[in-house]
Amino acid sequence: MRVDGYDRAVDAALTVAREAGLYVILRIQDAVERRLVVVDGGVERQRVTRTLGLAVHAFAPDGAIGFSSIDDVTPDGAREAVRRAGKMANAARRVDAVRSTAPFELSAAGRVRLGQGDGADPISLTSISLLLSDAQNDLSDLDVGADRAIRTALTATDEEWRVVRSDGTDLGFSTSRASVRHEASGRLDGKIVRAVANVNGADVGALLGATALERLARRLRRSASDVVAASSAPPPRAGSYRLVLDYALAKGLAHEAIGHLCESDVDGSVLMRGGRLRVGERVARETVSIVDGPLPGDYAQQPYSANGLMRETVRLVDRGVLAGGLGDPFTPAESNIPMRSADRVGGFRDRPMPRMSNIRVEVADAAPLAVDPSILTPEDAMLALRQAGLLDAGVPTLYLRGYRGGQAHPRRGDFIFAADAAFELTDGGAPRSAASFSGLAERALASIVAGIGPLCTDGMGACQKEGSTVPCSGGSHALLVLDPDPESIVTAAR
Amino acid sequence: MIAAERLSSRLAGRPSMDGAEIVGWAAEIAETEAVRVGVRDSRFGGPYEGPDTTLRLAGALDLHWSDGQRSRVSLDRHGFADLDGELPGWRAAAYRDRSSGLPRLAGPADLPDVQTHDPDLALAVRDDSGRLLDLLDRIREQALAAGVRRVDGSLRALHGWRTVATSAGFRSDWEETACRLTLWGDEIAPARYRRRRLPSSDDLGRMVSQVARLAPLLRQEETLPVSARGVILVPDLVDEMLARLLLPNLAGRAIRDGRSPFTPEDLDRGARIVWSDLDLVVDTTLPFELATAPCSSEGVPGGRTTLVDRGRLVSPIVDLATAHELGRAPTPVPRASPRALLLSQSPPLALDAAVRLLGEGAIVRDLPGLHTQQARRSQYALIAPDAQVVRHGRAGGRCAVRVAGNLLDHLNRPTTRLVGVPGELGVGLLVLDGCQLLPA
Repeated sequence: MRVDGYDRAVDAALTVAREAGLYVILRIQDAVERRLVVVDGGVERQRVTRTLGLAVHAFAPDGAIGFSSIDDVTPDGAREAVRRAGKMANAARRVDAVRSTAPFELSAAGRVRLGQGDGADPISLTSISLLLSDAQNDLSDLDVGADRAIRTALTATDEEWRVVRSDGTDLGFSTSRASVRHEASGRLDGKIVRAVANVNGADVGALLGATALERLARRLRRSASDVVAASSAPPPRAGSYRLVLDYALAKGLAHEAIGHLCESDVDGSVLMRGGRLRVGERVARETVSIVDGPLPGDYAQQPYSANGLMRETVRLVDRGVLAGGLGDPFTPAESNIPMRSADRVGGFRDRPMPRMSNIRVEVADAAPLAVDPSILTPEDAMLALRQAGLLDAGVPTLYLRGYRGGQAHPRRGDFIFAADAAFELTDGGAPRSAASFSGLAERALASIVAGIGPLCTDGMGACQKEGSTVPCSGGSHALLVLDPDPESIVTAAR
Repeated sequence: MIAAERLSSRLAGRPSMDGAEIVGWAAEIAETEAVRVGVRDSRFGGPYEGPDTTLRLAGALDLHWSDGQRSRVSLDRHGFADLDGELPGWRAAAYRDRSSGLPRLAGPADLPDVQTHDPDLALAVRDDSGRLLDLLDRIREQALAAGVRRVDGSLRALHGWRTVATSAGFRSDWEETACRLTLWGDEIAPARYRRRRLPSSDDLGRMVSQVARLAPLLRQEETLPVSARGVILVPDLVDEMLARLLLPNLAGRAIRDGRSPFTPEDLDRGARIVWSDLDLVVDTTLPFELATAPCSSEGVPGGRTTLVDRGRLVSPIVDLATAHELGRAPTPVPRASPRALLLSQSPPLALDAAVRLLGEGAIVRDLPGLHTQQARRSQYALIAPDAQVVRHGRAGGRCAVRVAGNLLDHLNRPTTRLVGVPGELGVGLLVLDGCQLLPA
């Protein structure tokens, strides 16, 4: 691995730390991100960004904590980083900052390497631009109105990490990932229409294969059909509905409304009481589970935590009962959250904190779906709901599609996320404009009544907790159904 | 800066690779040192908030090759130490731009004399980070003494040198500092400071006073009056809304590519896009503002450009390449706050007067999820969990509201008024019509 080339810097850092009486956790990131944007068959932008640096989390014997980072992975740079982290720990002690000796209790894991690359040369950007140009040509009949343009962005990150601790642990692992994203824009009745779709995973080569690019094209066509319908549609009535979420929106719900509330650095989320996670309490129907953990080949896969421990899969909700949280070595015992090695960083400059990787909502008795989820139409959704006995003329039912991101406040327990389009299934699948869905986490969780179709876990995102961007993913069954709840409200701009 | 000198010198030698040589280039190089410290639940530090320091040397290069291709690459400290070792990677990243030919490069230009550097702040970052911790400690203690029960906050300070240079003879080197201070009282009352210099005692006093005044009010839950008719959006939020919901549509490239609701024809005829009382300006020369710089990353001189003049679209925000294509002058491009300044022919209302004029409604300081909203249509539909109720012309307690509207529509209504807030460069908005407001 490339990160094995920094042994001298690692040795220098450990030596200086030992001399200064500091316990350190070193974190080296070596990443190359290639980003290529093709617009209507021509390359608009291509950028290669190299990230190489080292961070030191230093712990004095009394638990005073300092952190430093430097983009210099030489012995001199490493020594300077340790010196500066030590200085920060002293400054923290002077203002009586919170201390921790938790890392002193960790067990040494020795030297482990995982995810070593195959040594193949990266595919040339010229070849990729031709592939993407061909993929755009296959969409020549896509209608999104006048001034149609198709932008395709490939982002491929070849990333390696090395985590070394004073206890002798020395881990190297890869977190490479890639995505290909189509965006089709046009103008209908003077309004801008924008459809987006992506495919993603750990292997850029697989994403550029015919199967993945065909899937991408199908997803874009579905998205284009949605946003064209939504562009001239009236907004949905503001209020509560039986909601049907596509799996990307369901991932948003699980991530924003549940996952963040179970992270142990959140002091006092609504899923805690008296500083303790309410483990053992029923929070959902007994068919509903919510699971977070790395999946091989996934966009957000991460085999080890940022502090150098094997990342675990955690059942946050197990058959309706709150069962666990996302802990890290600093999680206090009184939080009732076991240490689950959930700590992650987006870049070497970030301090680790508990973060999700791939979070999914699993419903034990999910109904079957006869259609490929990537081409699921509102009519298909109506049929599936009818077959599941969940389409009732007396219960207004809205199908939300196209996740545009969201935000949650763990202590208040409220969340909001936005959808590209909505369809009123109790009105024959009539389109409605883009809408926002907001509510309270516990109420939304309790209102999940059904899953329909296979588990789809490649809903891709970028979690920006505390300003640190980490790749994330997840999903649910192709459709997730939530019963009406007075606190779960759909709104839209008129 | 030594790194910039070495890079310029190496590129001036027109290095070659695979039979093509570098015949033109533009570079932005920044060497920075930053300190960050946080307070959570009234206490310093811990594993997630402990003080930290960062050193960084980074470059962004736009390289033009003799065969008409272009490479856009980054350069880190290791790359600066071995420029020849980077050359194969630079060449491998070369591509032929879909627009016609290689973009223009900035040439020699007169640059504005701008204030981007506070020596006191630079010294604190470089040699006396304890002073920054003391500053945050002081404001924490003052807030607690003023009755705030829980203080959260963070301070980020930066000092560095930045160089922008091109092979066409442009060069600017400047020293810069930045200070971002955020304070929350009882998790509901925010105050922010973002400038290129250390906050003064008055600045700190204003922040403490704001959270100490707001926190006890917002701890009281109230309901939205049935007759609520509008909102007051505070200056920080208006800056965010302009950046999210309007400025992307004023980017020349978006207008050229048809991704903006505004068209090249709108530009040519100076279409009226907001109420005729309003101007929208970008300014990268204001003293000690984070947006302030002598030039853009491409070498376009800093300055003040009017985008909207008395309601009419007069200029997009354009980089060098798009300016050339559109036949317009390139404009400054603010990279931080203030992203744009909203100005009115009539003086802004004072906040108290705006509250009285509103009568019944809410003051909104934060709109979580704004980043998820439809920029191209300027629409939003969100929740403000910590809005402050306005009843009978007086600001009251906390009242969560659902608010939906369209920023362009707000700016097109003659009833919308700008609101001035002491200590704030930007303005707030009093929106009386066209905004849906519901209890949440």
